[in-house]
Amino acid sequence: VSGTATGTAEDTRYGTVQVAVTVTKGRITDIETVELSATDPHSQQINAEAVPALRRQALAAQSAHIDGVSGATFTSDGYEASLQSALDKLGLAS
Amino acid sequence: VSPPAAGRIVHSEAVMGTVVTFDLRGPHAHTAGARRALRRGCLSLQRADAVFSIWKPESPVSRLRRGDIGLDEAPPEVAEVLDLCRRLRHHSGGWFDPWALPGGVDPTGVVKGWAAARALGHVEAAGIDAAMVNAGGDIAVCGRPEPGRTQPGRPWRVALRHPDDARLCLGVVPVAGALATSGTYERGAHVIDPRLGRPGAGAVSATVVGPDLAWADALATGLVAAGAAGLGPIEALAGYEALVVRADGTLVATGGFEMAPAPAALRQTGPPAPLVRI
Repeated sequence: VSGTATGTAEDTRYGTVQVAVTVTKGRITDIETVELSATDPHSQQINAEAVPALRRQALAAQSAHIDGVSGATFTSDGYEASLQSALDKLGLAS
Repeated sequence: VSPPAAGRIVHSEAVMGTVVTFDLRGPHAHTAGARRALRRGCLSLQRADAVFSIWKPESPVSRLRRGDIGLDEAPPEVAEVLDLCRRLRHHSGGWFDPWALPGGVDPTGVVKGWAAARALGHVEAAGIDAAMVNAGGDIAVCGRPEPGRTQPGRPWRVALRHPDDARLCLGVVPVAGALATSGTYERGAHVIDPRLGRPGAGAVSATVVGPDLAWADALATGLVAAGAAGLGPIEALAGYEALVVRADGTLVATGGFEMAPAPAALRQTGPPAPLVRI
């Protein structure tokens, strides 16, 4: 499976997050943040720190054959849901 | 998060205030039977939410808590779960106690795990070779994720979030049945100490592995209130192991708790936190 797809926009406690994913031969090669909106500065700061880390985490987890994460966060729930919906689209397109 | 691959179906469902991900693997993952099982699994989660949510004022459990209805008027699964809660109260040494909370009986600490285990049951019954249901970090699995032709393959691997920093992992735990984590991070001190009747401060997070996710979920909830003091009753339970992260960052675990180091990119810099065995 190869291609790029945009995930659903997910509402979290800290605002809305939406990502696009690029998959090359069945592996995630990039995750881009399409939308990241929060109304208050506290949420903006949480998102600004969390999102690059979540991207790194998703890529590292894939290469380490990690099947899941336990002990998630609100931002990561939304990020993961958007990412997964993008991946689901690519799965359907294959 | 899992990329699409041959013999693999991933589906995420927003339910019970979290995201539940189904990860189905093996040659039967793409069949019509698998899709039907996935639908049944999702419906069972939606039903559990409708019946047990204490945030929905008209749910049977909310009405039971207010005294609007009796247990005999609630759907039969409510009595089933409360019966399970009674056994778990006993086996956790009293640290998991849905009756100690203010506002009436609250089975929330076991419902997510119970519902996710039942959802996995629908998938397993359809003959799927290997599957994982991840309900916001409460995880139930069957089979093995990468079965070979002659060997069963590696176990499911679950990373534990670092309680201080969502960007990092404490370690990676092999899971054969179920794993649940409960913590005070993000949501504040939301676990009530049943002995004090107010939020406890025993641990910042607790993880339990074992054969049944309903049990793991409830035991992890109790452990956050208990801290390392709650590990004794779990050590006595056949098939269950647990890890407690204390406020000072030190780790305490039962004798058989297995954890591999986190991948370098997700590891905290500096020396790893010491792990003490009870």
